[in-house]
Amino acid sequence: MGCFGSKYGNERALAHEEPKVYSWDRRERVDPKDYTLQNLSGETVGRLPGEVKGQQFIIDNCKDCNIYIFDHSATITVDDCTNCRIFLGPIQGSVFIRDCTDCQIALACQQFRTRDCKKLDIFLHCVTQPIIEATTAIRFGCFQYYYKELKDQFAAAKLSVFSNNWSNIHDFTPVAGENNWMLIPENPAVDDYLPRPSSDKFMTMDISTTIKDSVVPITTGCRRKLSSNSCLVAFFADAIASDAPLKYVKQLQQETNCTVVQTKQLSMKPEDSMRVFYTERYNDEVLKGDIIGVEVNGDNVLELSRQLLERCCMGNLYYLSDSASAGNQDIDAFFNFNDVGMGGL
Amino acid sequence: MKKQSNKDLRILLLGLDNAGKTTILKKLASEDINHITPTQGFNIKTVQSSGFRLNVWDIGGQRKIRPYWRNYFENTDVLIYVIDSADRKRFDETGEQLGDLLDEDKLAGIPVLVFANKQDLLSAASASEIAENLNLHKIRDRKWQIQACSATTGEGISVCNKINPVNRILLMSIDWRFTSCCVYGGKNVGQLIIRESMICISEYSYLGLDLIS
Repeated sequence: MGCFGSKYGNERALAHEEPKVYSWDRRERVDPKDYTLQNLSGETVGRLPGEVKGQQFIIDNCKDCNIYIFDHSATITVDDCTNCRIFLGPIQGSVFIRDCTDCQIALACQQFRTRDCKKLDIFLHCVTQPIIEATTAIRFGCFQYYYKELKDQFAAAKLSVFSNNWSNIHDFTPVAGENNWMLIPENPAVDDYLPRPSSDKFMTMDISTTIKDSVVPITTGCRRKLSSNSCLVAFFADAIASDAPLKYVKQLQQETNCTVVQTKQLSMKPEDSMRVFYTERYNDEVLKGDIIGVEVNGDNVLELSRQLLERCCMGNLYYLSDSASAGNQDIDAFFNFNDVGMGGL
Repeated sequence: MKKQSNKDLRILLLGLDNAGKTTILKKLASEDINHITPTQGFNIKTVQSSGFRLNVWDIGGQRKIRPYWRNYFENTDVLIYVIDSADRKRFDETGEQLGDLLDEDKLAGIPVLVFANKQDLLSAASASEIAENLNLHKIRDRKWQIQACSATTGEGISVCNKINPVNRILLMSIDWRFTSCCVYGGKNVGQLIIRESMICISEYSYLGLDLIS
C-alpha cells in the first residue's frame, strides 16, 4: 500500500511514478490470532521463547488470568484486563496498558505508558522515563527475573539491562494532595505478586526471581538512601566486554551492605568524557564503545568498591570517584549529561 | 514560534500519544530511535538544506495535553497527522482528534499529510483502510494525502536521495509526495514548492520550478 490522497493537484508529477514496494508488502503473512490473547477468563496462558520472535503482541479483555510472554516483542498493548498476573519479556518499543484494574505485571521495555488504570503493581525495566495518565494506585518496583533465554532477548530487543528508569515516573495527571503512584515495598518476594506458571506448557522454563539471579541489576532508584556516601563507578569497553559491571554489582550486593541506586549505559564523545570525568584519560576508551555508569551508596562504599573493582575488572580501565564528597557531582554529571533539551507546554 | 524569515517552513506533527511522532522526527534527522522518552512537552527539529529551513514541531499527544495543541497552530504551513495503524482500539479516538483539528479556524485550508505509521507491525491496517475509517475522502476544504510508513524502518518517511538521471521525476520521492500538497496548497504557492523541494533534495528545486511553470 503506497499513498494516495486528494484528487486535485499533482497528476502531472505522479503520472510517471512507479508504484513503490515496501517491506510490509513483501513480508510473510502471519495470523494476528497467534499474537493475540483475547476474551479469556481464569486461564494460564502465554508464549514460550521463540514463539513471538520480535512481533507485536496484543492482550485484550482478560479476566482472572495468568499470562506469560517469555519472548521479546516489538510492542505490546494490554487493554481491559482485570485481576490478571502478567509477565512480558523485553519489548523493543512501547508497552501501553489501558483500562486495566487489579493486575500484577513484570515487564521490560523502551517506553512504558498507562492510561485509565487503577491498582496495578509493576515490576519494571524501562529504558526511558515511564509515564502514567489517569492512573491511580499504581506501584512500581525494579524488574527482577531470570530465565535462560532472557539475557539474549534483551539484546534482541536492543535494550540494555543497565539502562533502567523504573522509579522515575512522570504523571500527566497529578492530583493535588494525593499520590497516584507509589513504590512496592523493598525486597519484595516477586513470586507472591506474580506466581510462576503452573500449566504444562511452561514446565520446561527454568525461572528464578531472586536478586542474585536477576538479569537486570536490582537498583533502589528513588528509594531513600541508607548513607550520605555515594560514588560513581564507570566501566569502559574492555571491562564491559569481560562482564565486569554485572560482576561488580552482584558482588557489591551480596558481600556488602551497600546499595546500587541507578545504572545507565550510554555512548560518549571525547568532549563528553572531558566534561564528566574532568580528564583526558578516558578519551580513547569512549571511542571504543559504550560506557556503563553505576551509582552506589553506603558508608564505606568507596573503599569496598575499590577492592571489588580490582577483582572484577582484571586490569581493565574503570573510573571511581576520588572521594565521597566528589561522588554526588560525578553522579549528576554522568546521569544527566545527555538529557535532551525539551520544551515545556 | 513566529517564522523567522520567508525561508522557514513550519510543519506541525500531531497525533495521539504513542503514534510515533517523535520517532518520525528522530528518524528524519538520522538520530538514534532506541532511547525515545514519551514526549512531555514538545520537540523541535530543523532540517536545513540550501539555505531553507524546515522547522518540524512535535507536540506530545496524551489526552491531558491535547488542549495545548492549539498554542502551536499559528503560521503552520503543513499539518502532519500521525496514526498508529496497529492500534485498532483507538481508531475512533484518533479520527475524532483529526476531525477536531480540521475544524480549527487557525488550520483552515492548511494541507494535511496523514502518516499511517507502524506498517511493520503485524496487525497494522493499510493506509486505504485507515482513510476509509477516518472518512478522509470527505475532506473538501484542503489538500490531503495519506502515506503508509514505518518510522522504525524509515520506509515511507525517508528523504529521497535517488534521482533517475534520465527523467528525474520518475524517482522523485513518493515518500515526500506531500510536497505536492504544498505546491498546490492555498498560500504562497510558488515559494512553497521551492522551499519544500529543496528540502527533499537540492537538485529537485529545478523540478519544482518546472512543475509550477
